[in-house]
Amino acid sequence: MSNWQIFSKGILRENPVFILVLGMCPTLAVTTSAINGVGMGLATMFVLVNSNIMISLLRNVIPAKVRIPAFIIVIASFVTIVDLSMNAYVHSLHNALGLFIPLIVVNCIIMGRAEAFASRNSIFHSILDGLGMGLGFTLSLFVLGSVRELLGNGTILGVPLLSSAVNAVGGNFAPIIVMILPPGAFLALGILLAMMNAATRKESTT
Amino acid sequence: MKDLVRMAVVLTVICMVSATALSQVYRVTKEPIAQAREAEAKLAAETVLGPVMGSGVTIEKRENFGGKDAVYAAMSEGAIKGLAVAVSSDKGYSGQIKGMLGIAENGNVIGYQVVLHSETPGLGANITSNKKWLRQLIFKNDKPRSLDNTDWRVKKDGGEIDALTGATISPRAVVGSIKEGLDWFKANSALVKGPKKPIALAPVQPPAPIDEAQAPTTSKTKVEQKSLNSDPSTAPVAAGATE
Repeated sequence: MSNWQIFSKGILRENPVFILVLGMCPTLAVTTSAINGVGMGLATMFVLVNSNIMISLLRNVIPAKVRIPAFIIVIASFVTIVDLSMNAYVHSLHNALGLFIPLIVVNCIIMGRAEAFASRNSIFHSILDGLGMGLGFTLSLFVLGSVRELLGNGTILGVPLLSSAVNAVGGNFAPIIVMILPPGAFLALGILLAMMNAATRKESTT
Repeated sequence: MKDLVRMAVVLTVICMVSATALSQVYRVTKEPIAQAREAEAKLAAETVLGPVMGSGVTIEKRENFGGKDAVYAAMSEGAIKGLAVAVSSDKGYSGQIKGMLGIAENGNVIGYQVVLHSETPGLGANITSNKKWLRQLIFKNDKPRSLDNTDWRVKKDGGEIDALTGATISPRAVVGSIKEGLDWFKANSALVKGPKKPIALAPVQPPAPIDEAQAPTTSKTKVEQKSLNSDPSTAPVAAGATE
């Protein structure tokens, strides 16, 4: 696999949310708005790249039998670092994401990449893999967050697109509140997954 | 056996390295986190004290005030014109709702702002954005609310504060926390009218015995106090209307 393939597979071909369907807890819970999705995605990407580096570095030192606890310690440490740093330097975003930052620990993508990729590949490749997967995750969360915010609040990133468009043509915009609530997460994800499957059908018929 | 020792050693070393790294990050971020919290509280205090602000009025942080760790006081010539008090409720729909409550020195509510919450977006979260609802927390028929003229419960519980469409729990929590803040203010009103400058510090309601002890000259000071009385009661209405 070329370096480019290692990096780019996470964005579309092995997209963590839409293809691998990993890490659903933050995906569903946090994407009430586009900015929340991006914030969560970037925080996850940071943890993913760093834990990939550490685990790739330690891959020949950690005995196979205790690799899982070792991975968890590494991941949890980076999550705590992210939590404290965000609280200190981007306080308002930290308020919005609140509870979900610590939940990055249990995000299957990070554990999955540690186990499936970083523990078997060089540091450089692990960084590429982490960046690609993180970017794919961030993009997916951004798309999901945008769809939900647009339908549920009429805005994307706080810019009133749908609401002002509807009001401009003389309509009276009423947001579909359920799209911001938990059921909306499942609805939006299901529809996007179906669209994604339809689009990639030819490639993935195995 | 050799395997077992190796596992133990590797895990121990990883834990030690991780613990060291975390303690360092904690040390470095401790101060910025405290500053960010402080800045957040100060900003909220400035907002809720808006109606009593004006030229010559400054906001001071007072620590250990009436059993609270910190309150923000709007000060004018050494007298407290209003207090911003952090209030919170654990009865939100999803956890704690923290807010900042602004109280004028005469006990009128002059502002309220949600600082931290995790209520449902589109429903309970409207406590932060519904202007009409936020306004009726402060005004009752365009007159400022206080502990005495308002039954601080939502209408569903027999009080006089409206709930939000589709959300009763979040407003109930907010109203409860405001009530607590006002009760605290009442219990500590002596501190607000406190000793600094007896003449400038005009008690608004009939003067409490403490004040008379501090202002022994009787008739003259009372007249001055009366003239000052009219000032704070009109100020919140006029300034609050701009919100």
